[in-house]
Amino acid sequence: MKKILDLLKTEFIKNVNLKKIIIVLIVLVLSSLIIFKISKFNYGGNYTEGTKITQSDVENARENYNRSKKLFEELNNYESYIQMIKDEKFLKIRELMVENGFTDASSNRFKIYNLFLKIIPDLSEYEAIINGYKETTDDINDIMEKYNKLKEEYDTALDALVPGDIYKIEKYNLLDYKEQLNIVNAQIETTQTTDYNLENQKKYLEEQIELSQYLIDNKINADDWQYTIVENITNLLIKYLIPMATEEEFNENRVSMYSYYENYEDYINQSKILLEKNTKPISNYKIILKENIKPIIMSNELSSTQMPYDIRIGFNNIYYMGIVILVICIISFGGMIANEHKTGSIRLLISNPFSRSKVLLSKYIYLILNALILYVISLLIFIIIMFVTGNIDSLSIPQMIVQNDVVTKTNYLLFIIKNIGIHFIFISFILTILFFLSSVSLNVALTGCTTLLITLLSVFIPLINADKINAIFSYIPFTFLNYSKYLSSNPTYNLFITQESNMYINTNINTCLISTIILIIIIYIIANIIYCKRDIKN
Amino acid sequence: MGEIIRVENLKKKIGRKVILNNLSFSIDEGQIVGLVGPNGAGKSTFIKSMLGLYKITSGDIKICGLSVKNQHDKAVRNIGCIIENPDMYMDLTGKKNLEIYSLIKDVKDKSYIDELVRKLKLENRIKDKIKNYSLGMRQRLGIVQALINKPKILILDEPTNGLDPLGIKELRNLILELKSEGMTILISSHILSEIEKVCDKFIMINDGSILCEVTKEQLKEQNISLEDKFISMLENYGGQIR
Repeated sequence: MKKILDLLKTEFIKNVNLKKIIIVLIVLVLSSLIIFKISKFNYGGNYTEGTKITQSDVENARENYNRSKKLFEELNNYESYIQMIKDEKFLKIRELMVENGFTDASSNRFKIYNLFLKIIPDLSEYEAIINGYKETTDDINDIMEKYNKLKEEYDTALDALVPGDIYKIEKYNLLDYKEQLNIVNAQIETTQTTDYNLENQKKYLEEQIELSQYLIDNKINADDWQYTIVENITNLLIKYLIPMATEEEFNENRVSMYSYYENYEDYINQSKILLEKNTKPISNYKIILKENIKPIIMSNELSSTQMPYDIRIGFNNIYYMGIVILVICIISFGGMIANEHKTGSIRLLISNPFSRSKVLLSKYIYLILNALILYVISLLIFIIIMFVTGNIDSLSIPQMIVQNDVVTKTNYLLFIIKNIGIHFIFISFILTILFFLSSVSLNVALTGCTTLLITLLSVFIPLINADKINAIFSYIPFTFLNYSKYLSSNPTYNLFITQESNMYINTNINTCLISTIILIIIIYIIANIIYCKRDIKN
Repeated sequence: MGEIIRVENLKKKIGRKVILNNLSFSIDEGQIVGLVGPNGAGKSTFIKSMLGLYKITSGDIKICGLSVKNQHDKAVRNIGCIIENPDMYMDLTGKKNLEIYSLIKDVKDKSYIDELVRKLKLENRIKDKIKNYSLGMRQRLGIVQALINKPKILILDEPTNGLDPLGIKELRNLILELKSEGMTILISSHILSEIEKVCDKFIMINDGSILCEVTKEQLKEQNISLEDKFISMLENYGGQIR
């Protein structure tokens, strides 16, 4: 053991100097920043930077509004009036965005726009009303009167709006849902037979009322993770509860939309099954809200791009940093054994009381240790970036896994550590191949090029989205490809594991881990046997 | 004086080619032995086999009774060596190189290293990078490296390479000084006149086999120089110089 430590020390004395450390640190920091920047575009939502809306954008919108207003005053007809309202809406949105520093890609823009449409009903409603009207001044006055009344409501709502504070607006939605529920209840009372559509609408509205109340009671903002869960529950409700076609609609659109169902009854039954199947995820998400437990692994009902958990995205980026680390290692250590043979300095070790196995083992440990140091530095850089950019997430909130509809509590830190461990074993595997080639071929170019090729293949081949390739990778023991597939199985890496990637976790990843470790050992032993039998010719 | 190196039927094949063919001889403690032979005779192969750089095909070399084949780590602990050109890390300073050597050879006595550096007149350049050293300076640092752990046996393969006449004289004096301290030295060299001045015994090899073993006294008795003896041995062998 002492000998190995001595050899390790000599490796550090030989290879580490201030210049190298500074260069590697610069490379790591720059790569981290580039990856972070790219990720921000990829992940969308809060991390998508768009063009910032400036005062000149507002002026342009105002110009358009003034133009359409002037046109309406001249023509005084329906079309010019609608155009004027549209431009006014757009101007208001622009003003709000400038006021709050939003960008055109900001998710807040859509939230504000949706809110705007909610409070001032979509113009299509007016279009519908208008159909019964003639284009007379009286008609226009009538519409204007209705519009102005709604505008007052909108202005009141706008006063309450603080960017991100969705719960302050939610009371308008709540009132709306309650009103709709009263109407649906009245309809149900008057209907003698069970109308699934009405029943579903009732369920949907009851759920929405509960959710709205939750947002208001807990003062949930748009950027809070709980809001994402609420949004997802809403999506599920919309998907499975409304709209259900009536028998009439069903028959009308039978060929184009409902050919899958035998008849209306079958359609209703299938929908009921879907609803029951879907009740579990909905109730799981409700547990998440009730317990205030952050979910880690989502079912595929949740879009990972909606997840605002930045620290995880930071860890996700480590996956791509792994490639940078591998490239650094290939450049730095591709010739670690070959160069010593070329210069003859290897004789210094072998002709001294060090067996070749010990020399080889110390070099291998040195290689893995260096990769580990680079990995830890990369992690630290990401944590610092996350911290500086204010994107660091709290680790103190308990975490839960929603997997195959089963909710289990988990330790988030352990979860992260496990994934990082898996990733590092994958890196070690590639480095073992580098080590093998370096010690067996003693050729820097061959070692470097081959390992680089393997790294790139392991990264890019699994990204090919083809079922057949996936199936092959699941069974062929190219474990590193399986790893890559596992690690890159969705856009935000494995920390948001979807049901799709669960397949890899459940069926392959444990086998992969074991087989990879066995492969690492076998490759190392072969390298050791070949190297120990070799004559040091130089 | 007891036997310190024993070579027993040493055979080394590289591919199908026999480089060393049943080499057997022994060296006593405190002797300075010259290994003499033409290019390709197998001198370097023998030294590399002795140090464990070449795997022995058959036979064995015993150093202080320890088998190089089976107890490499323990056996080579007794050896200090320079093979052809000294092994150094060119991008590091002389001092850093010595730091590595002392770590490899587990040397804790730093004052002895300083003494060696002074003795070999390297103290003014010890903080310079090796790549800026002359060949002679590298050779001298190589000797420091070889002696750093006070080995029982010193192996010098072409030690005068790159040394100027003054350097050669200094090296000669150093070798004689080390002999007086009881060190066993094995020198392999082409410069027979130089080797003749310091060695007690000569082992002549050609084509991987021993041509003859002769002591300095025997040469004196025969009133023949080493060079003449070597040439006559080669002629007797059939003049086949590989």
